[in-house]
Amino acid sequence: MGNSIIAKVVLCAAIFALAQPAFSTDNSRCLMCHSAATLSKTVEGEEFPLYVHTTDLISSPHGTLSCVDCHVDLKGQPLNHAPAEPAQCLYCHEVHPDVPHSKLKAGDSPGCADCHGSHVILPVADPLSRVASEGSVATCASCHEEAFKKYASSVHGIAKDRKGTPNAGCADCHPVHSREAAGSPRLCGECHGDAYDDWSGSAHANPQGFMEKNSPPTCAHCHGGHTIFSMEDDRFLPNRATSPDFCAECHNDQESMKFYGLKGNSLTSYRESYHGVAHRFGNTEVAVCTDCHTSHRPLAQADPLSSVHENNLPETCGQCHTGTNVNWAKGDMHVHISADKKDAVYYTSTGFKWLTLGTMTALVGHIMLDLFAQTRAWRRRLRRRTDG
Amino acid sequence: MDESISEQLDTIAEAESAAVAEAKEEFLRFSLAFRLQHIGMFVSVLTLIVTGMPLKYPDAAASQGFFNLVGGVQASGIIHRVAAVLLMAMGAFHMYWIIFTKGGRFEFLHLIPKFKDFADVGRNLLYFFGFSKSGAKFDRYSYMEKFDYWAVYWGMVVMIGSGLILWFYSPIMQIWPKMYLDVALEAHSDEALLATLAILVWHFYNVHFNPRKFPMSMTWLTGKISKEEMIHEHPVEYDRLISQSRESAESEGED
Repeated sequence: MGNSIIAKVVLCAAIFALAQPAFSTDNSRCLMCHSAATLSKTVEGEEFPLYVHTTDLISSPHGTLSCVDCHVDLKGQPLNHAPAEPAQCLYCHEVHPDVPHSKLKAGDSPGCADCHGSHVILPVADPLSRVASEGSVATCASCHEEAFKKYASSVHGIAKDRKGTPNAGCADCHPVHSREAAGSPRLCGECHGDAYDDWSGSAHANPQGFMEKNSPPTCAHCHGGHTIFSMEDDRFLPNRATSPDFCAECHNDQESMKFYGLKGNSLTSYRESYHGVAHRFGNTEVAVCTDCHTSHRPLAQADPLSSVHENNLPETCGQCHTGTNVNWAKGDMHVHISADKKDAVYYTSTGFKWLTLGTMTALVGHIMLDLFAQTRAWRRRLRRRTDG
Repeated sequence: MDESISEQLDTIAEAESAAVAEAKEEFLRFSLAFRLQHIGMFVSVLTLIVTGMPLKYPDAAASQGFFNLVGGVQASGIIHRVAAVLLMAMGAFHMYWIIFTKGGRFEFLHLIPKFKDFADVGRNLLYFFGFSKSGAKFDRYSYMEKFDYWAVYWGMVVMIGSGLILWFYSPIMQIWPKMYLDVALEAHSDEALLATLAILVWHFYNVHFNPRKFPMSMTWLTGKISKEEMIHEHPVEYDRLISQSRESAESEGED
């Protein structure tokens, strides 16, 4: 592998070195025909131009190459040559064999030229490049229409300048040539560095295992892919209205929570709390999951770095409440009455349960007996009247 | 103790009973101060129940409807606190009334449970099961009414105590750990249910759904009770009033 790269580098260097003097001689031979603007061929009724725009080609990074460096099959061919094979890019450029495009069937698979163009290939850094952040969208959209439609109105698709440069182009999130997955957290982190750093240290990024059904969330799990909206937009997900239910998709799943060693009643206990009830009835100012646990760095309560660690709770609660102190951390945050945890709240609840049952049994019993006695007295009076 | 009670009762009963008590068709059972306390309390308690229960039972369809109606949980919370202030005011006035006024002391002394109340429960049970021809004969307050009063007394202590802790959670947590507030919340919620059930089942049976009272006893509004009800429900008090009025009539005659 290492040897082949070195070989390629040496080869490219050789081509560049040799190409310089060769250009005028070799290319002039090709351009005898291909500089004619009207040159074209017709295949199955479709017309393909065969014109090469020499000025643009020469000013592009490939301008110093000769035609046959890329069209290797035409080397030494007569002027009246057979139709050319696709240009050979891989002599110089490396593409990982597993990238999705190369795994498609031969006919469907886009070649280098489908994205990069042919005779005028500009550096990626050039805003006019077909694969630059700015230009990639149109290039990719020519095949990926559905994805483009979703993406176009997303925060990444919105233009950030007057030239129409999107906030993020396709290639910013989809690594075209490497095997890295599209939308991997590292890629998001290229722009969203703080969020990425937080997430990297979170329990979500460092789970104690991996479960296929509910894998620990990466950026796209929570925020989506093509339809990510600005945080000011109501459509941004997850938002204050959707957060509890959204987190609960995993955190209320008993099987997953058992697998990851977490409590499975977080949603239930949140819903029972004042925060949960107020949220349920439309108050989105009360605390939702991310207010206490943070959006990007949820950690186990025992972790001293966690926002819900007892040392940090006064500060966490203090985001909304005044006068927070160590007492705020003394007790359960997700209060849930259960016989599994016999604490003061459990005994209060149990005590009142029996007090209520006992009292109401006595009161209802007394009412029933009173009604029974009244009915008996009424029937006795009735009988006396009829007897009399 | 007994003597001092009976002395007080005598003085108050004298003021109340006229010489013509025997001929009276109606008796004044509850004074205006008494009735106003009851009205103030049930207005606040019903409001507290209506604004509190939806928080306890958020799953109920009516809860969603209620919060939509009043404009959300926060608005409901404000109404709850206003009603709570009214209830606390009633509680405070009641304490003043039973300590510092003659009328209030009279009622309170009659409401203290005595041995007779427990005996009355036994007597009534014998009657209910048919072992006795007649039930207990009550004085001014039957054991059922005394239960009502003391249930409210206990309820006020629990609800106002826990309610204030929850209302002023931040100052409270300068001293107490959060755990105590969790207990207060649980007690507030559970006692609310017990009180609501006691009112809807027990109190409403006694003053609304009891065949003798249906659809409603008007005493809470007029303060009056008929002679027939007086003889049936409070025979001991009736007899005392009659004998007292006779005595005072005789002593007036002597003068």
